Amino acid sequence: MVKSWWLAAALAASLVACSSPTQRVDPDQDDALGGTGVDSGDIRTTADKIARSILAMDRLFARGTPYVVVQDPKNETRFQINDSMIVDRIMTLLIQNSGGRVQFVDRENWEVIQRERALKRSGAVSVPTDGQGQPNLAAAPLGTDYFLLSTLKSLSKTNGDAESDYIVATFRLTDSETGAILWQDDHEWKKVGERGVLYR
Amino acid sequence: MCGRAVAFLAVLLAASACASPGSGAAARSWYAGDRDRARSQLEEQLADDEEGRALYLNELGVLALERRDLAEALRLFTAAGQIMGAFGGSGSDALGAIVGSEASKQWRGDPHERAMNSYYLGIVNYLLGVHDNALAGFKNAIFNDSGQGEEAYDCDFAPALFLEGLCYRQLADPDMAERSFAAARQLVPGCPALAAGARGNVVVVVDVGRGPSKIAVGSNGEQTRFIADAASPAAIEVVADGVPLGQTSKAGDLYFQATTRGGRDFDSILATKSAVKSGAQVAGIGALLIADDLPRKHQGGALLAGAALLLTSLAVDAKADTRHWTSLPNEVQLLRLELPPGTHEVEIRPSSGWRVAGPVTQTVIVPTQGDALVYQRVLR
Repeated sequence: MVKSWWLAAALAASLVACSSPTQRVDPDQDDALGGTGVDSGDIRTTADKIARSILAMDRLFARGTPYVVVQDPKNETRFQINDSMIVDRIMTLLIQNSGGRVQFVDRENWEVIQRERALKRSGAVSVPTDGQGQPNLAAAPLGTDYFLLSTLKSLSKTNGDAESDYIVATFRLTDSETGAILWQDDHEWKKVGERGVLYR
Repeated sequence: MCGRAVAFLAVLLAASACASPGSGAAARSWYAGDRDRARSQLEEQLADDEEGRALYLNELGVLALERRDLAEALRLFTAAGQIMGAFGGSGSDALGAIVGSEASKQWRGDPHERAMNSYYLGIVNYLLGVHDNALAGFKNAIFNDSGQGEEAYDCDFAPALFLEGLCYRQLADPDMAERSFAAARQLVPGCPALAAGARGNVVVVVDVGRGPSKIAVGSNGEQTRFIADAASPAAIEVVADGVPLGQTSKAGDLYFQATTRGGRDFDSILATKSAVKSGAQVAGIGALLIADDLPRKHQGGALLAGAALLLTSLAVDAKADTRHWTSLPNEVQLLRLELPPGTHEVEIRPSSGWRVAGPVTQTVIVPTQGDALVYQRVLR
């Protein structure tokens, strides 16, 4: 009996003193930290669903390879999110899996591209050549057929101890000439959590 | 029996040995005007005290905002917010806080402190021009201020509502903006910046004074109370390009925010611990007093039991966690004013006896569309 008390004392001391080592975990799984915010699993699931939805839409490819500019999402949730993570992941999945059927236009680096064009045309740097040995210079930067636009919205509730968040991530492809919405899809999730008694 | 008692005391002592100290020392340096010392004290504590990380990150965030290192302020407030928003806890946290000192648990702040972390994320993101994350900050400030105690589901922190409206305007959603402005106006009808007719493309936000301090009360310090430092300057004048344009007025009160949250579930655990502590003390003294009157063969046992009860009483720490965010303001004041688009030099001038903590003069670029935000902290 005395032994078990000493064991309890040792266990208590070790619990107080020790921390768990860093470990690699599956990004699709929820972590033990809790909270009702946006997790890696939400980003990965959303990106996967939306990329598949885009590729499954025949109308997008009816006029040949579509050119798409991706805009940063609008975050209207209560969470601080680097929301470009979601569209970056969608772009990665589409580039990796579409076999070149979708062409993205890089507008994030517009100034860098403009500067390089100017340097090449001024002779300050060399001009790459095509297969026939001719200078490979585009007449103009690419215009786009579609904008990929997105928003994240949430409905949040709390009673002080517990929280719930319903989040909808909506994506659409808008025709850059007419403004017509070619396609729209979303992914939604709801999380409920409660603070431990230590923090209530 | 003796071994069991010693082991029991060892459990109590092991669990209560590591109470996190809080940021009081750094606060004294900062309020005395020694920001460098405050910063080094907080950085030292951040490295040493794992359980107080979110507290030190928030305090350092205020210092970073004060010197307008916005990227660093964003990093610090974000890191603090992630800790404060977590739900899970470790076994050592639970054991330490229940058996030992409550201040041994990870600091995640009270609801008003969680709301202020989000408020600062809103301010910093707005100043950085990231308006959707600024909106997220003010929304979360409103969220964290809601659902507490008797004021269930209603935020009563008008500055967060007003600034949420400002973000909606910036994101071209005038309907939602007007809804937020109206909610703020309803809470503080006397604040000119929130009035229905108030116009202007520059919003001045001034955090004033020292926020509420948390102290322990009760026979064993098992309850918490907030003390207000209600002083504020007679007037805070806003001067743009050398021309006085108006005075800020009070829109939010942090003492009110801190004291309208209702009780905590953990308070009942502290009350029990306090009763155990007091009971063990009384029983221990009683056992020692009656030992002399007992037959000789029982005296040794009574003395031992009395001593063990007194030691138990000493080892049980029922004191409530009084760590709190010391660099929060006492109140938030607002002013809306109109300036022509372009670059302006804006100065916030508090009345005598008060000083600005941030840069004395701020260069503000007023856009052709949307609103510029000017932030300042005013201290005694």
